[in-house]
Amino acid sequence: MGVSFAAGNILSLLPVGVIVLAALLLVLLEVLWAGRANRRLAGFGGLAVVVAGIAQLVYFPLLPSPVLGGALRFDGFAAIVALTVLAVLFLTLIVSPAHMARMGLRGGEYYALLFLSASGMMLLPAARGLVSIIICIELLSLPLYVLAGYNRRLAFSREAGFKYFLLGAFASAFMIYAAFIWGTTGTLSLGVIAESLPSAGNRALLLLGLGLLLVGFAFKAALAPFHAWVPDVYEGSPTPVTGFMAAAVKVAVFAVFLRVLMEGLMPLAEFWRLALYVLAIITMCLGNLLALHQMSLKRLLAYSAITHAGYLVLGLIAANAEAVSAVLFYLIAYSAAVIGSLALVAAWATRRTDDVYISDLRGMAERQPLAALALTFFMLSLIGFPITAGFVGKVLLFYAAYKAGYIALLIIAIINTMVSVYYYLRVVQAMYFLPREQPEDAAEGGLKAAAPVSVVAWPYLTVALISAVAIVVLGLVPRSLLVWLSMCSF
Amino acid sequence: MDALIQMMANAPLLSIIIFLPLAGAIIITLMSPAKSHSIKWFAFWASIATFLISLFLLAGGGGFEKFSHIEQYTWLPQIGVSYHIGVDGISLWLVLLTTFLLPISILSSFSAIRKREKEYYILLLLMGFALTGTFVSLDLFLFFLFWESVLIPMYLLIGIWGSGRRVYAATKFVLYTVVGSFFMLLAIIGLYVHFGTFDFIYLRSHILPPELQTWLFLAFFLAFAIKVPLFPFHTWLADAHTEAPTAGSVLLAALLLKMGGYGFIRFCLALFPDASVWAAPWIMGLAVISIIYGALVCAAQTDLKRLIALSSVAHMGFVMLGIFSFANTSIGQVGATIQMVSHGITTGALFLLVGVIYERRHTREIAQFGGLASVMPQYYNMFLITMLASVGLPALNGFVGEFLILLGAFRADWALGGLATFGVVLAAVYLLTMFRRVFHGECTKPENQKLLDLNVREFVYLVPLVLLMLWIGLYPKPYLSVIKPAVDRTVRAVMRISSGSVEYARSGEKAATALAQVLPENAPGGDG
Repeated sequence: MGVSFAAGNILSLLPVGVIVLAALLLVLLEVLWAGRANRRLAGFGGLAVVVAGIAQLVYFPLLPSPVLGGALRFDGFAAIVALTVLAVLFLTLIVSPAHMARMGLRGGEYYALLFLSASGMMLLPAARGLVSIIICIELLSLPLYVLAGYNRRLAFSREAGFKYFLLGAFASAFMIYAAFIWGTTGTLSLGVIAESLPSAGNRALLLLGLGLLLVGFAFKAALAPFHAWVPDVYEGSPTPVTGFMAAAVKVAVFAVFLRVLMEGLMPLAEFWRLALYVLAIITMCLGNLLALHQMSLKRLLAYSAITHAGYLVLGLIAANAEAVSAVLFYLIAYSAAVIGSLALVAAWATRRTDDVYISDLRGMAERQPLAALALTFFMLSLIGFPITAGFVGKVLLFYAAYKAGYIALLIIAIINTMVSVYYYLRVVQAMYFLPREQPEDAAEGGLKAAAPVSVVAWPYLTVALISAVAIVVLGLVPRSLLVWLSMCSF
Repeated sequence: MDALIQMMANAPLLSIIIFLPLAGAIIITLMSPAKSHSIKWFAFWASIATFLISLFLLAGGGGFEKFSHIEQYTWLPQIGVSYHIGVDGISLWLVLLTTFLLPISILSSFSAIRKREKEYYILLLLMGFALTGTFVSLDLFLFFLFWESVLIPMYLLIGIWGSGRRVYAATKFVLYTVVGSFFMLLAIIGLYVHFGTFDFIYLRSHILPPELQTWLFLAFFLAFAIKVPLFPFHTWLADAHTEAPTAGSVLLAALLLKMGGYGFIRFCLALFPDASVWAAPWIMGLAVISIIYGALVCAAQTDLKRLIALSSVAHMGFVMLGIFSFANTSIGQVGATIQMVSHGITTGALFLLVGVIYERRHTREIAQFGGLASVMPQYYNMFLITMLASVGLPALNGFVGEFLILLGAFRADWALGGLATFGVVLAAVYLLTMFRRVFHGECTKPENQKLLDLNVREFVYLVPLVLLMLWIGLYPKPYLSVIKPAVDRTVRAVMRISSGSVEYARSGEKAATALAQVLPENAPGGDG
């Protein structure tokens, strides 16, 4: 491409730069502040996130600005994704120190790894070439493999880290087969691929490349039948990490997925639409059916994450202008609900399992009305009930899909939404309808310590309330966000 | 007084009626849960204030054929949603019924609800907010919002303060309703894709081509038919009504079921006239099955509350029969609208009466009673009038609606009308049998002999209901004169469009192509 290396607005890199710099400094500071440094590290990190957020707002790329020879191009879409990731990172930082202390974990590399992963997520939607996309995906994934297994004392957590690493490595390997697309079109840049696809030579090889790229994405986006890692990883990871993964990874991966399909591979739409059509149906139905009888809240949310990935694929298939802002809105709404729910899971989790069972929630409405109310809102938003952000997200997404003419798929999505009401309401039901279980008899007195804590510490409650307010505000007055999103679609 | 009326006429009256209960609920959240006395009375006075303000609706309107008290503010301009509300003859009495029954259900709960009172009254007020909003929304997005918002307070009311299998009943209630409403959401999105607006006023003057109408009609039909409930979608009803606390049952039977009937007459008829005429014979058939089947099931009940709950299936069957009896008049639809109001009053009162006896005896088994007439004479009188109103005795409110509905049904289809008339007889059978077993004969059970008669509070909330039954029964003209112009207008539009003298909307490419495919061979017919 004709753009020289130094050309482009290098200031667009400032927010990511701040985050990368913070990651490096966090490694140093951990050594300096040896010992009980959890709070200080999180505080420093929070400051860095705020600075990066301000930088992102100040240098909001209203016009697309390519940097680094066109390998990256920052635009409004990328900026919104970056801001969402920063918000999720900030909320994760609020929860982390308290939770690490309760689980008896040292800060160490934890914060640095979170920041590195976040930097990958922020770059991902700006990536313009197949190679830079794959590098960014690796940058966001590698730290997460370590973070998933961070709670070394729990067998669950070690299993999560290992499993995530193995399957993630497979996914990356599949993704690298996108080289076939390079082979047939002779370019790595998305824009050029789109131009040269119609005249591309070896059709079979091209489709093979497309298929393997889709498999790689499906792994990362947790689409069935490539979802098997999700429940175990979500369950085993330290809960704040689960929240970070569930929210931020989904935002980043779907953003880039949408971009690759719409900007690079539109000429092959008939093929990937068909593949995604099938994947969406399998994902929605399987995720829902498996969620129905989960006892663990983290596993429930894991299967719900799979289901929501299925709904989001509707937006990918629609691939129209409406779909871009719908997918972004849906992702933001979903992130708020999931990070809030997992903050409360973290608050109520026991040290032995780092998880909460639905039966533990019984009688919660009377013990902790505020937290119970917040969790109710999260569940309603995940269902897509009115006055929550989830409802607006669903309406926008369904509208995009309806407009593109995928009505049969929509009906399947609607039926799945109805089914999902059952398991989300099980959580509400336990909190509001069922009395607290009587403490076990004296013989099991040792287990009493395992009962969920009765007071939600302020960091958890803060995150839950911020998320709940965000959900209601976005549900009632999504106006300004919608304006923003419609400006930023590509 | 005139000055006051003048002032109220200029005020955003409907918004005040919608949001006053919400404001009350918010204020209660700030009160201490220990002060249950002040919470109760605050909720009561808030709802009374709402009721009194809602009476001003009667003063301002000019005939109620068109929508009055319209308010419209842009809300989400990107997707064309506005806060658009208004009231006409169809919705006016339902709004007043809501504001009227809210204080009554609050008053009836004072001694029945003993746990978590603060949350209870918050939820009752939220119900008032969502119900009023449902009946006045003129924007489909807004309508759906209120429609779904009714669900969660009712779910919690049944699940927390219900009896017996409350968790099961609450879950079943939500799942059933949600099945219908999400399909309705899909249809609303469909309308939006074709017309680019959610605005009801616009949509009712732009009619989809018949084939598309059918599909969207079916989605709306499912949502409303489950809510009404029409046979075979009625199975959630008995559990929800029976297990709910008394006030919950009152609101369910009197108002939630009306959301379905109102939805049919407001949205299905106006937006999908061809499909409505096409479906009318089928729906009338289902309505007659509901009437007969509901009555037979009632005759077999041993639980007093369950019997009254199931009687709603039969009574709402009449409403459905009236709405879809298309003849050359609107008599059936007018009857259906007044019947919705009557049924709300009568069945609400019946549930309150059952609540009274349940509070004293903690059982609802019919076999546990007998001979109550001598022990509780005042209670006996109230129950007698209400029961007769439910049977449809002339001079009481039930008669007016059922008579008009049957007149309309006979004109549309004499056979179905005849079968439905048989349902009136069956209603007399099961209600009178129940009444005999509860009140007549010897009072043999010792625990029944010391029962206290109605107290002042119970009188206060029952007497207005009974007076209304007599008023509507003896002099229904003021009610009908409000209802008739608006209903006439709706039904005239249906007849005009379905007889083929109207051009279908051409907005959007899709609508236009579908029109080209559909119109030549499928000329819409006007016969029902």
